[in-house]
This record gives sequence, C-alpha cells and structure tokens, in this order.
Amino acid sequence: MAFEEVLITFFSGNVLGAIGAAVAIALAGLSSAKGLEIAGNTAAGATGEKEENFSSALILQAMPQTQVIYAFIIGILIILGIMAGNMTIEKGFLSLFAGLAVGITGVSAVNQGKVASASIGAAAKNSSIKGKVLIFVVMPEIAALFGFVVAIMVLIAGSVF
Amino acid sequence: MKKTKDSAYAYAYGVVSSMTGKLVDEKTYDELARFRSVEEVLAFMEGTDYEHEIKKVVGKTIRIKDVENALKSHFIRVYEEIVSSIPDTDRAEFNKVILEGFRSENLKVVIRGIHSGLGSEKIIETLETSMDSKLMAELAESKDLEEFTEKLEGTEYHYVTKEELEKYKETGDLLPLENAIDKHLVNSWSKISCIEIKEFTDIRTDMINIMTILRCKISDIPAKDYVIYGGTLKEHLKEIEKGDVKDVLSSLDKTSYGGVAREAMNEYEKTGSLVTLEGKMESDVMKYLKENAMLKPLGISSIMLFINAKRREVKNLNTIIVCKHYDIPAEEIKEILM
Amino acid sequence: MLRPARMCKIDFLIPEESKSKLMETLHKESVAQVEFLNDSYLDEKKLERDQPPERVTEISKLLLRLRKIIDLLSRFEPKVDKNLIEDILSVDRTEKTKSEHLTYEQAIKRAEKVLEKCEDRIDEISKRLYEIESKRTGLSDKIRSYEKFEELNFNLDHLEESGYVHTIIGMMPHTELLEFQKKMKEKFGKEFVFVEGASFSTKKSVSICVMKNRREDLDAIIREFGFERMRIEGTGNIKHIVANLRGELKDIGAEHKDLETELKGFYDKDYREFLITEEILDIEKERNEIFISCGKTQKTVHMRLWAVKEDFEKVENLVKKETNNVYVMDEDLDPEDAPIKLKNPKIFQPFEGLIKLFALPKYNEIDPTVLMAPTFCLFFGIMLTDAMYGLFLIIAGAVIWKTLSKYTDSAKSGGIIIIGCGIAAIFFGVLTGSYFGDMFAVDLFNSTPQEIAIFMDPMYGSNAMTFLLIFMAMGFVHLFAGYFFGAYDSIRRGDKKKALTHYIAWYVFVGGLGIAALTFFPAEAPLLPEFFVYIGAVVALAGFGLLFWGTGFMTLIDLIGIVGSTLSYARLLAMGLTTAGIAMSFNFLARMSLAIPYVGIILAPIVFISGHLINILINSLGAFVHSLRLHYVENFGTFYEGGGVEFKPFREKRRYTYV
Repeated sequence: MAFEEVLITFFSGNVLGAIGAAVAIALAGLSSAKGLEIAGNTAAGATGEKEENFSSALILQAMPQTQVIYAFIIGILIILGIMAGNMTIEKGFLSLFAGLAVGITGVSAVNQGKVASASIGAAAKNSSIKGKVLIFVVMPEIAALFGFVVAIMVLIAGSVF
Repeated sequence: MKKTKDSAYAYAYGVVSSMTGKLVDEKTYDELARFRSVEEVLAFMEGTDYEHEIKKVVGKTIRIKDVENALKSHFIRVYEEIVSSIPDTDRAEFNKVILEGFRSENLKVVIRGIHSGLGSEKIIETLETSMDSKLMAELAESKDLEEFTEKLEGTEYHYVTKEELEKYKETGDLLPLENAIDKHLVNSWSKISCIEIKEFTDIRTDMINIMTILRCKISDIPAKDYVIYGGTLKEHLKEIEKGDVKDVLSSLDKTSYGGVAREAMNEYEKTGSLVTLEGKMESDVMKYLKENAMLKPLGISSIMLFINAKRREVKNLNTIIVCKHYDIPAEEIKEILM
Repeated sequence: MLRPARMCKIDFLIPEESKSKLMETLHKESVAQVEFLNDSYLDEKKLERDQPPERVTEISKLLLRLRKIIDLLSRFEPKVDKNLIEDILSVDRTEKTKSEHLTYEQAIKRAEKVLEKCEDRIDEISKRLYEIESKRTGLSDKIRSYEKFEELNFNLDHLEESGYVHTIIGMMPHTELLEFQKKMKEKFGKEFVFVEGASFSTKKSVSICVMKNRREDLDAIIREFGFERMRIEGTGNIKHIVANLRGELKDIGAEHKDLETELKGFYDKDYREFLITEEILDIEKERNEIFISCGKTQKTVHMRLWAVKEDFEKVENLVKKETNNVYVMDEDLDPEDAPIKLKNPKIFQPFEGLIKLFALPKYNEIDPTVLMAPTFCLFFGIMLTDAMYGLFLIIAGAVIWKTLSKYTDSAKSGGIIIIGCGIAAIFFGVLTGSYFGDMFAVDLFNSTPQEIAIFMDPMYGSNAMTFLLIFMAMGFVHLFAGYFFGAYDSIRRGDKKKALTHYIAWYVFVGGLGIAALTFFPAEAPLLPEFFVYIGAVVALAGFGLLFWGTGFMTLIDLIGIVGSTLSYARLLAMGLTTAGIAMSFNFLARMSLAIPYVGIILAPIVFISGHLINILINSLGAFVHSLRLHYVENFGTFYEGGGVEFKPFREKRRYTYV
C-alpha cells in the first residue's frame, strides 16, 4: 500500500477514535494495576499478620479500580460512535483527546493506591476508623472524575455517539 | 543514592501496621499491673503473639529467668520477621544499622555498669535485647574497664582502644570510651546508599554530636576531639562546639535543634543526671520518625517506630513480670512502666 | 428498625460477699455488658479499682500447665483443610459435648484430676523425645561422614601412629587424585600405600600409608592438595563402628516411635477432656478477672451494666436474687449514649454485617440496614446482569444456608445475601436478555439478546448511552434519598436547623434548577413556559443560601461532590457490560470449539462451563465490592457517619461444650 494511503487511513475518524479508546484503557488500566499492586501488597501484609483485617483491606484495595472503569466507559462510547458509522476526522480527533483526558488523569490510580495502602495500614492499627479512611482514599479519584467529565463532554459536544 | 520505592515497602508497611494494632495498650497495662501473680500474666500472654515463646517455659515450676529469655527471643523473632518483609535492596543496610545501634547501646550499658561496679548479673539484666547476648555476657564479667578493653580488642568489635582507656584513667570520665563507640557507629553509616536510611542516620549523628558537645561543656572538657564530622550539621559543628553551654545553645538556635537542646538542658538542670539529657534527645529522634512516618507511611520510618515500640513493650512486660514475682504493688509498677 | 436497640444503663452497689455469685450468674445468662470503669470515674466517685480474687492465681497456674500439655499433644490433631467459603464464613465443625455449670471448686478439682493423671508422664516423654531428636541428628551426621570410609575396611587402631607406619584417611577431589599419586611417587618412590575407596560426588575417600619417619613429608604434600582429613572416634574396624552407630540409630528410632505411640495414646484417650477442662478453666478465669472493670470500697463493689431495655427487669431480678435483696441501684432508662445492638426485621438481619463492616451507628443515629439491603442487592444485580448467573447464585446461597448453618451463624446470613443478589441478577438478566450472556439468544432462540430482552440490551446500538443516563439518574435518586433520611434523622434528633440547611436545602436547590431546566427541555416543546426560569432561579438561590447558611464555603466542595458521586454510578453500566462482554467471548470460543471434529463435542462444554464459572466468580466479587463502595462512599456520605461501639454482653465462650 502506498505511503499516502496508509497516512490517510491512519488519520481517518475510525482509526483515530480507536487510538483514543486504546490510549484511554491502556493508561488507566496500567495505572489501576499499579495502584492495586501497592494497596494489595499492604493488604497481604496486614491480613497475613491478623486475619480480621481481611474484609476492610479488601474494600480499600479495590478503590483504585475506578479509573479503569471510567476509561472503559469512554472507550465504549467511542466505539459506539465508530459503529454508528459517521466518524469524521474531526470526531476522530475529539475522541482521541477525550481518550487522552480520561487516560492521563487515570494515572491518579497509582496515587490512589498509595493512599489506599496507607489507609489499610491505619485501619490495621485502629479498626474503629476503617470506615472513615475511605474518605481519604476517595480524594485522589477527583482528578480522574474531572477527566471523565471532560472526556464525556468532549464526546457529547462533538456528537461522537 | 537510591530512593526507597513506595510499592516496595507496601508489604512491610502492612505487616508492621498489623503488628502495631496488636501492641499492648494503656488499659491492658493497667489490668496486667493489677493481676495477682506471675501465672496470671503468663496466662494472659498465652492469648497473644507471645504464645509461641511462653509455651516453652511454662510447666509445674516457672523460672523468671526463663520467662525473661522467652521475651527476648520473642523480640528477636518479630524483628527477623519484619526484616524479612523489607525489600531485598535495602534489607542488608537496614539490618546493619539497627543491629549496630543495638550493639553500641549495649556496649555503653556494659561500660557504665562496670564503671559503677554493678556486677555482671545486674549488667546483663539491663541490657537491651540483641543478638550478641553471649558476647555481652562475657564482656560484662570484666572486673574493670581495662579487662573490658582487652577482651573487646580480641573481637571484631575493637572500637575502644588503649588510647581512650588512658584518657579515661586520667579524667575518670567515661566520655572518651563512649565517644569511641559513637565514632565507630557513625563511620559504619558512611557507606549507606538508601536515601531514607541515610536521612535517619544523619539525624542520629546530629543528636550524638549535640549530646557529646553539651556533655563536654558540662564537664568542662574541650569538645574538639570528640565531635564527629557528619550528619546535617557538618560545617556548623566547628562553630557550635566553641564556647560554653550558653554559646552552644545559641549556635544551635540557628539550626532546627535549638528548641530540643534547650529543653534537654532544662531537664538536665532539674535532675543533674546525664541520663535524662540522653532520654530527651532520644525522644526527639522518635518525634522525627513519627513526623516522617506521617508524611511517607510507605517507608522506613514506620518500621523503625514499630521496632522501638516493640522494644518498649517487651521491656514493660518484663518489668511487670519481675515486679509480680517480687509482689510489688500495682501503683509502683505503673510508675516504672515506660 | 431504623434505630439501634434501646438500651439501659444500670449502676449497682452490692456487698462484697455477693459479687462472685452475681458475676457467675450474669456470665451464664449473658444478658448484660460490664463496662470498664476508667480511672477518672473511679477517682471522681472516690472508689478504688477492684482486684480479681486470689483464686485467679490458682486458675492461672493450672491453665498454664494444661495448655502446655495441650500444645504437646496438638501435633496429633488431624489437619483440617477448609475451603475458601468455609474459611470466610468461619465454619467450625467441632462437636460439642454436653456439660453442666461447674462451681469454682469443682472446676479446680476436675483440672487437678486431669493433670494428675498424665502431666508427669507426658512431661517426661516430651523431654525424652527432645533428647532423642538431638541425639538422632548427631548420630546421623556421624554416620553420614563415616560411611564414606566403610569400603576402605581398615582398623582404626592402625590409624596414625602404629608400629612402623603412619596412616591417615580423608577425602580428596577426583580431579586431584592422579596428580597426587604422581607427587607421592616422586617423593616416596614405592614406599607408600594409597587405597581408594568409594566415590561421593566430587570426592573420593582415600587412605594413605607411609613410613612413620616420613610423616612430615606426607603432611607437606597433603597441604598442597584439597585433602579433607577425617577423624573418627572409636576403636576397631570401621565397618563395625559404622554398623554400631547404625544400630544405635535404629534403637533410638524405635524408642522414639514407642514414645510417640504412647503420646498418641494419651491423645486418643484424653485430648478432648483436656480441651474441655481448659475451656472450663478459661470461663472461670474470665468470670473472676472481670472485677478489674469494677470499683470498690471496703465492703462494697460498684459495677456498671448495660443491657437491652427489655431486659432491665430480668437484670434487676438477678441482682435481687444473688444479693439477697441487699443492693443499691441507679438506673438510666434513656441514656444519651450506649453500646450498639442492631435491631432489624429477620429478613434484613443478614445485612447488618455489611453495616458492621463499615461502622456501627451512634446510639442516636439512624440504622441504615433496611435502607442498604434492597439497594445493595439491586446494584449487585445490575453489575452482574445475567439471569442464569442469578439462578446459580440462588442455588449456591441456598446450598450454603442449608449445609453450613449448623456450623456457623454466618452461613444463614451469607446465604440470604447471596440469594437476594441472585434474585436481582435474574431480574436484570431478563430485562436485558442475558442468559449465559448471549447464549440463549443466539444458540437456543436463533435471535439476538436485543430481541428477547424485555427492556433492551445494553450492548446493542446506542442503548449503552440510555442505560448510562438511567443509572446516573438512579444514582442521583439514591444520593437524594440519603438526604431525605438525613433530614428525617435530624428532625427526629430535634436538630431542625440541620435538617433544613444540610438536607432539605438540597431539594430546594436542585428543585429550583430543575424548574429552570424544564423551561428548556425537551427542546421542541418545553414543559414549562419561559417565565418559570425566574421562579426556578429564585428557588435555586434560596436553596443555595440555606446551604451556605448551614455549611459555609464547604457548600462549593459539596456541590462538586454531588456531581462526582452521581458520575460514580456510571460504574453500574461498566461492570454490567464487562460481564456481558466476557460471557459473549466465552460463548464465541465454545461455538468455535464445537466446530472442531471429534473432540469438539467434549471440548465445547468444558470451555463453556469453565468460562462462565470464571466469569461468575470474578464479576460477583467485583459487583460485591463496588456495590459496597457505592454505599459506603457515595450514599453514606450524604447522611451517615457511624462511630458506635458494639454491645458485647458478658457471656461464656463455649466451643467444646454446651449446657
């Protein structure tokens, strides 16, 4: 295939949209994994020492998953747009940047994982606060939340789906 | 210099936090102090983590010495568990720093014990839990500090030499001997590559220097030879060690240690004992660790704090058991507890 | 139902003589919690802290001895491997023996009898076993090093110096043997004897013999090679020595076996009795140590009890009886703060565990169990969304309930929760046409999930967007329901201002925005005429003002919080889609494997079953955790704080016995 054709296909709405979806889920997915790793290590340590810590550690550890869920939804919406069949180049670029918005803010999952880890430790020391520390763990999600909102608004504004 | 990675310490943090949650609290110390006998206390401890070691020493007859040793071996087991949860890259350094610290403390305890003529049994009782119990027991049996220095030179821990011994004989002040141990300790920290551990040892070095300088000024000894170059105070040390106590305090005011030093000196003036001076400085190191642990929970500080807390717990339980054995009333026991 | 059970606080002053009997009865009846009176309270009332009676020392001594024996015998306990479910539900299959309430004297006698029977012998055995172990290790090590030289078959008496020759034995690496012999020939010519024995990995056992006077020369050569000298204790032929050692090892091994058998005999006969006695002693100990929580004067004891309000008379009667009507009582039937016992209708009780996991309500706070139960199952069902998975869960829940409930209390609760979630999952599965994903639709009905769905299939076309809006609306309603209950709770507590500014104000604010919005939507034919915008704006402003009055600048943060929380409910869609997506992929794989000739018929069901099993497990876990999260973080954030302490009545802990 001639180089021009490749370029044209690459910069078509569908492909750009797909890149957006891929970038979103890739960044957020890796970050969630990292965040879950950090929190998971602490959960393992805390539960190994004292089994009663298991249930609160489990819930706290699951918190950094939110970012990948947001990216997943954005990904689905972009794919819906592609499947609808009228993905212009402009819509493609909009999807790409929507994907970036939710993907890069999704990196907050790593930070959230660290907070979750510290919270698991705090709850292991003092089990009466295990509900309260949830509030701390939710804070880093706000960044991802705004990324999600911006991504959705971009997609809506461009009538992508 | 390598930085400690959060994710690497996540597991150790989980382990240490859980252990912190299981530490004996105020209310329980209260109850234990009020138990009627050693057997009750031991029966209580069998329901805790100490079970593993206590089980081995109970029977128809209970010997207090066995129980004390059981407590010490419990501490060693917990310590080794913690060290094995630290990431491989930092493990050796961490272990070295802590063990060297224990060793120095113990050597100082032995020196002071021999100097005051306490007798080897009493000295061994006051020793910190450590891995060199055999060595310390042997050193504690020296009749005087000369024999001590000789014995020490025969081991790999020849920190104190004939030179310091001479100075001690001249002045009757233990400072040269203890300072030699401190010098060795600080030198052993020079090769540390982990940033967080280095920060901790720097603070320790500062404390040692401040303590030494104040001590020199109090006993009217020139401080120059005893200052150890290093820590965060490094270049300022030359200035700080000049003059008398007042000058030292005002030089320290320019650093972050001003407040602590003044408070420590106040305490000293009340009791006249160097031990309170040391105690105050020690508690400041703990404060530093606490603050650091809050800023960066996934790191060394939380672990060091716990090891300290565990030491205190073992000491307290030891006190309670021994006091119960000699039928000391609850109020007095509560005074002695840390 | 919406509040924790009402409690009463009763202070008692009783004569010293009645204290033990009273505590014993309270312990048996398990109706009251004994509060630990703290030092400041005791100082205030000029009381001393009570001490356990002296008998505790005796109990502790016996307990320690008993526990040591139990520990020694516990090695014979069969290893019970609990599977994951049993582990989470803390299943305990120990049989309980019928017993009776024993007095202190009876308990002590029983323990002494039990110990007398076996303690000394068991102690002896364990000491001997320990000695044998160390001896065994020593012997094994010796045998292992000596047997390398057996083949050389020589007499130890001939080693070293003897008559005219000097003999040594040792190990030498294979690689050096030739070199060594060459060197020996050089130095000694023919005046040496070199015997090679057996090979062991890289080394060989050798024996070298030279003239007595050439000993130093031999030593000099030996040093240059990797020669490992052996020293063997004993006299006579090496083969005999090794044989003797082996014999000794065997004897000791036999003794060890005999002792272990004897120990096992004790285990089989008396282990259960030891456990029961330990339990009885523990109960006695707890009964006596509880006095540390109480205060005392010279002749009286002061204790504070908590009980459920309905049990007040029962407690008073107990005290009356045990003190022969000599007591002083000070009761508070309507305390401000108390330990928490949740009280909910039977069907909701299983969900109390979910509240405990987060935080128990404070005494005057709302108990959200009944509020959480239905929505928890609802959200779980949405996130799992599959009718067949739901059916699987119902069956699983019922099985757990029926089979495990006699071993643990949590089996019933766990079973009910799972069944509830299963029902919700079936509901949403039917709505969206999900039966094992798209399997029913495609393979059974030759259709698509969209067609057989009662409502619509989220994977089809742009239905996902519709569902997203529905779920976020659901979330919004859930959050505002929280405000409603917050208002109800505040009003009930008498804090009308808070009800207005923290909760009702939100309705006003959003209501105003809603009114204003309805003048624009739907775009073609707005529901309200234009001037309603102004009404809406005024209402919204009023609402905002109320909020500001109540929480100041935090209102802005709360606003962002509401938006965030609503968006968080988007995860309902995401989790549901993942379940459907994974199910679809496994169906696809199963269909493909069916096409393979011959093996397909066997392979397809395997792929199908294992795939869907994995899907159920993973997504159930996810649905469980995220449903909990939506409640704990988003929903509870609007009206619930918690912080209560659990009511723990003073009761006997029996595992091996029942009365």
